[in-house]
Amino acid sequence: MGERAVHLQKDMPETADSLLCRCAAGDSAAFRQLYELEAPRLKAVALRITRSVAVAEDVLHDVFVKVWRDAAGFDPERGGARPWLTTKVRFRAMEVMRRAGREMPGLDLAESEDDSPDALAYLLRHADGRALHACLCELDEAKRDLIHRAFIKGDTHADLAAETGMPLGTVKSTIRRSLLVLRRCLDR
Amino acid sequence: MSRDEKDMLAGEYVLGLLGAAEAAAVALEAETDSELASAIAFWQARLDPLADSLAPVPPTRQLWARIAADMEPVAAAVSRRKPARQAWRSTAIASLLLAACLAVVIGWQRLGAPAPGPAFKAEALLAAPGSFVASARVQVVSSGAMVLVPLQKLVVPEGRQMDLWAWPREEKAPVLLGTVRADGGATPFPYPPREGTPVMITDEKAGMGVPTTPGPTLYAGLLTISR
Repeated sequence: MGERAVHLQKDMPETADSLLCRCAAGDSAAFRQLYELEAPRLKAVALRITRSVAVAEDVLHDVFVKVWRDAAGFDPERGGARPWLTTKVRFRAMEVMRRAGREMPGLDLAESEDDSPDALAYLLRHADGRALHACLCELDEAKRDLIHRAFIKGDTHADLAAETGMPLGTVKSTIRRSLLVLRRCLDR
Repeated sequence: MSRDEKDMLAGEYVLGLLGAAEAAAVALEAETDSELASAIAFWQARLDPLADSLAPVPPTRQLWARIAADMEPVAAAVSRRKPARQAWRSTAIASLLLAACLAVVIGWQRLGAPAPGPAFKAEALLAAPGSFVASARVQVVSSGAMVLVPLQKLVVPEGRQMDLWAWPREEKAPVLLGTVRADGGATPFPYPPREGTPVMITDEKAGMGVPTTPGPTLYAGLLTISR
């Protein structure tokens, strides 16, 4: 029984959480593993915001170098490593785009090249996403679209107003009300 | 702020909808407001499946080489991960700095033009504990000076003065940079500007000589590197 338990422990795959904690102790092998595990997912996130392969890789470079330096800033009690990394990549990508006035030269990703599945369909198929799927479905399509665009494309209030034709104030209040609906639903 | 308001603010923060100054203020506030920090963690975790819905994109081979080339040596990276420093940062932001420190006063000179040009290397937005609005901005400019620009009127009560402190990595304790004028100014900052360096303005009794420990925090923030 004891041997069996040890065997299972050894075979358990490393998670982003455990790897990040090892990075905080200066384990460079764990950092490489964390990169292998998370970089493809994070590059997709950066790519949707920057719409440039080169800029998305610059974003990943900056974030990973910072993660290695500041891994101790990750507090597992405040949430998982994956959302922590996603947030860092999204914020850095949005910062880069906003500093460039969203007019980054050399944009090289066409909308048609994106082969991501429909987000709602994906959420429904995966255990982690089902609650979010159910709650997003409590919003009408226009409201759901605002939340999705802000998260995935890094759109600002002004971008959303321009893209949807809604007044800026309406965009802000709609998003705030939608967040409240989502929060209450996700708390259930 | 009600729980609902914190939830909405945290949601807007995680979605990336806030302006840079407001987002920095929220991040600062979350260091001392556990309810706000929990709300941010909630949104990060619950919205994260949206990121998973994107098809993964393998990075190029060159990317890891670039990252590896820019990694600090293990010893240097770990040696900076001192719990005491983290604790000071949180405590400073909570206005309760207790650590003893040796102060060095450097002359505080007023600049003719308080707003620097684009040559600044790092900046921090300083907000009062509990406030979401930055009251002042400090910038480390290429000449090695730290320039303070008030974003709101900095009111100094009778018999009090405001002092500017920073805790660069090279120092064992916070360093007094000088006394703050209500209309801003500049002081030498003989340290390499680094991301995350704590900067704070404290409330001190006027005419009491050089303080050896910072007084209560009026405004605090962390340096971010400009790119």
